[in-house]
Amino acid sequence: MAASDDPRRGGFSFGQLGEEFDEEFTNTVRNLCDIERAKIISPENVAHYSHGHQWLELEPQGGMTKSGFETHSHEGSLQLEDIRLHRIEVIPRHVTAVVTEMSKQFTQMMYAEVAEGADAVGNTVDAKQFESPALAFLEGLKRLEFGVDRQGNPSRPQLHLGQAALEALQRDFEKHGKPLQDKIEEITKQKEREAVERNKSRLRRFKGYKDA
Amino acid sequence: MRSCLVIGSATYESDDLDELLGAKTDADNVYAVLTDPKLGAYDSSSAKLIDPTLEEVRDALAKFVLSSPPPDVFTFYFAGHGDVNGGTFYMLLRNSRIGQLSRTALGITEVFSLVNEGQPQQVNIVIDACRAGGLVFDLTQAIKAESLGAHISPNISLLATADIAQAAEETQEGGIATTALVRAIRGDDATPSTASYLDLVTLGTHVAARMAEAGVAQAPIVWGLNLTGLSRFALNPHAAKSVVPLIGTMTGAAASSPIAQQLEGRRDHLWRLYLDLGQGVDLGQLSGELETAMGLLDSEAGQASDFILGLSYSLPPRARASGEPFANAEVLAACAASLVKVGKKDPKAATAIEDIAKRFVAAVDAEMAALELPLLNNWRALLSRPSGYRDFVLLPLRISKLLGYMAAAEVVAEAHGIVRISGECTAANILQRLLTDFEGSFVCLSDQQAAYLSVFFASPICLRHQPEAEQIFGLMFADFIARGGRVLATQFTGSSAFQYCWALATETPMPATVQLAVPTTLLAVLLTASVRLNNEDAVDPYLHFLDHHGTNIYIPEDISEFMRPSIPNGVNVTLSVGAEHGLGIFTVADFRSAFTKYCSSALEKLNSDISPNERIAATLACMAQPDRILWPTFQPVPPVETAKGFAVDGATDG
Repeated sequence: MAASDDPRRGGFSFGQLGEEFDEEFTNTVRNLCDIERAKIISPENVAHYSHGHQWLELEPQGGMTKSGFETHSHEGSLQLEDIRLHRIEVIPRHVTAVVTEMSKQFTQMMYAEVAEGADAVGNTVDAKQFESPALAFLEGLKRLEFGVDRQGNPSRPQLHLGQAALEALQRDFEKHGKPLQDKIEEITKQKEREAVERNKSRLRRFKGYKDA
Repeated sequence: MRSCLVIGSATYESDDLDELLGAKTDADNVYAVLTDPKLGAYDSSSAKLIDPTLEEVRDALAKFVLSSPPPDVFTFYFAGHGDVNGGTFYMLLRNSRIGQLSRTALGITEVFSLVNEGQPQQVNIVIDACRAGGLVFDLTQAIKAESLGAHISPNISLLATADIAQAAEETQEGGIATTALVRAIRGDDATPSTASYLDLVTLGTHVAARMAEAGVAQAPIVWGLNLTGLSRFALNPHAAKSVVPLIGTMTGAAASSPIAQQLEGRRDHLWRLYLDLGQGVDLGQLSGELETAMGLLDSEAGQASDFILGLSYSLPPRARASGEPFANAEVLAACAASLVKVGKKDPKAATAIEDIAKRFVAAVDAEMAALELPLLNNWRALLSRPSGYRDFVLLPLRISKLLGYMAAAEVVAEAHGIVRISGECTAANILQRLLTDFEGSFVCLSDQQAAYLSVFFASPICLRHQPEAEQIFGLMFADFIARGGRVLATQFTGSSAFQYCWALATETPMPATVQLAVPTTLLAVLLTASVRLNNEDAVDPYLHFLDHHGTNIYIPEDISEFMRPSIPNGVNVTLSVGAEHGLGIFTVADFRSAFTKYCSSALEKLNSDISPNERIAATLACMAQPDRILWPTFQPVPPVETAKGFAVDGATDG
């Protein structure tokens, strides 16, 4: 709309009140998005960059790949009629819509990134080639390398599933019973020991490090 | 001593510079009106130079500005070619060369430097040249300097007749802008001012309006701040006869004004304030600075009134530059309100309040007239620019403020017998439109609205439009009940306003960071309005919804303190809805009784001490600092119409 066609005139001085109000809307969206993201990724593992738009990721094999920021966006519209009638209930409704959409986009991006990374190194398991989801899970577990947290404690991998798939997997676990559970437990323990040992080897590279 | 140096640069030695048909005529006309004893009243020792060289102008400038003692008023006028080079504006003279401006033309910075060195008490600079607005660059540079203020005269006004990218139009009879200026000085064309002297800012604003009306594609730039009183560019042919000379006599003022000396330490702050006004009015900052500066002046000698009156002419045009409608009215309200402090001891205060208050009415009327048609055509006219979520807060506040300013203008107009051509009719139309289109926005957000509503419900407009006033009252009271009486305190940030709206919308507890008005003044205002509108019966059935709710009535001890940011003396009378003992309010009648019992004596004492002009200034104080209510003019008593206005409790307001 050309400035001359814009019917809005405003009137009177309100200092920074308007800017602050809009900024708080943005802050609320950001805070809620942070909370949603923290459900998937620990805040300690969220990196923040002040400059640039790309970063290099060093791979275990010595190579490196370039990654960059991806933009998530959501477009909503505020009806002027809502303002005129002072329907403030649209504020939380709009905030929720933005947060939901942003979280959805973030989650989709994260799964896509993980899938792309696994595909690139061939570390994937096709569940359809197994008799049951539980056996596919077992195969996946075998292929995984566990990590440790900042205190050196082994951390188990996360399993992200939709509700229906999760229920099917649980049923399948129950069907296979204790033998499968024992097998999983055995592999898990072994992977944890390997993770701890790998971490110790890494730490020994520090000159001042001593094994506990 | 009043000196002027008038330059008409019509012909040039360089073939690159065309002859200017009207420059000589302009200089002749300006010099004639300025040296006319009944118009400009500049001394006969003033000078006019036609087609001078750079050296001749430099000599003349030095002679006038560096004379001892320096002139009380020095006016520099230039008509000729102008250009901007390297961020500096140059005036071209007979021997100037394009491409060698810094060596052969007169830079505006050179004029500033001489002025700063000579320190005339008041300086006016008028430039009718192409790209004259370029001088604003230089001025901004000077003001950014570390020694802000020290390098700028305490009183300087500028009129550049064309913006930096524009040509100054002229005919054989002279430049369009200068012709308009001369007509105004001669009195052929009246400015809105009725003061004894015309200042250049008022004249410049007038010239700009005339040029806009004539459709001339040339936007003059007007700039000026006068700290020592109203600038005396020329006598005002349309001065009100009752207005006494404001600062001494025309020639008798001391070269170094006592006001300027007293304000030396505040000069930087005042310049900063002036500059910031172009970005928007911060009424708290403005009122605070006026209060501080006035504290340095000798009120009994009339210095405070001179100072405020001068500012009241300088600041509104700058505020208008912010583009925010009503900004100039807000500044005028703050200026008039500040004088309540010296109303009793400053001999010129009453006159100054009257002068400013009248211009306040004109400003409100002009803004309402400008709003009326756009608002009738499109309700969005009241939205912010840019709008968005912020308007959930700004729109209701803006509507309350509009009601307050509309009503304050009525109060002032009635007190001073001002005949308004269309103000009342415009107000009625806007009021109708507000109720038709913004029913949902008559909501109670903050105690800030209490001040505006108190002036509205106390004003004649409320009685003239009783059905509309009742409707507004009904909407506001219903909303107050709906939000359980929870409204924001008078001062709040946009962040807490958002959290407040969020908590209400999500029905979650109010965060501790949100400062609510406890007790609230808004309830006392609404209850008082219900009495004045005879709506008590409609309120009583709903009061139980406000059980335990507190309301406050603050009455100052001395009206001279009424504009202080925080008023130190006085009493807060806090009444509680449904309190078992003491001041409990169960009906509006209880509120009336409690008000009479606990407030009347303090109000009577205060009322007996307020002059009509102080009452006007205090009313405008409620507009400028909306955390105070002028309870003497707004008591829970049904008003009775008298021949003189509306009488309440023995006092006549208006």
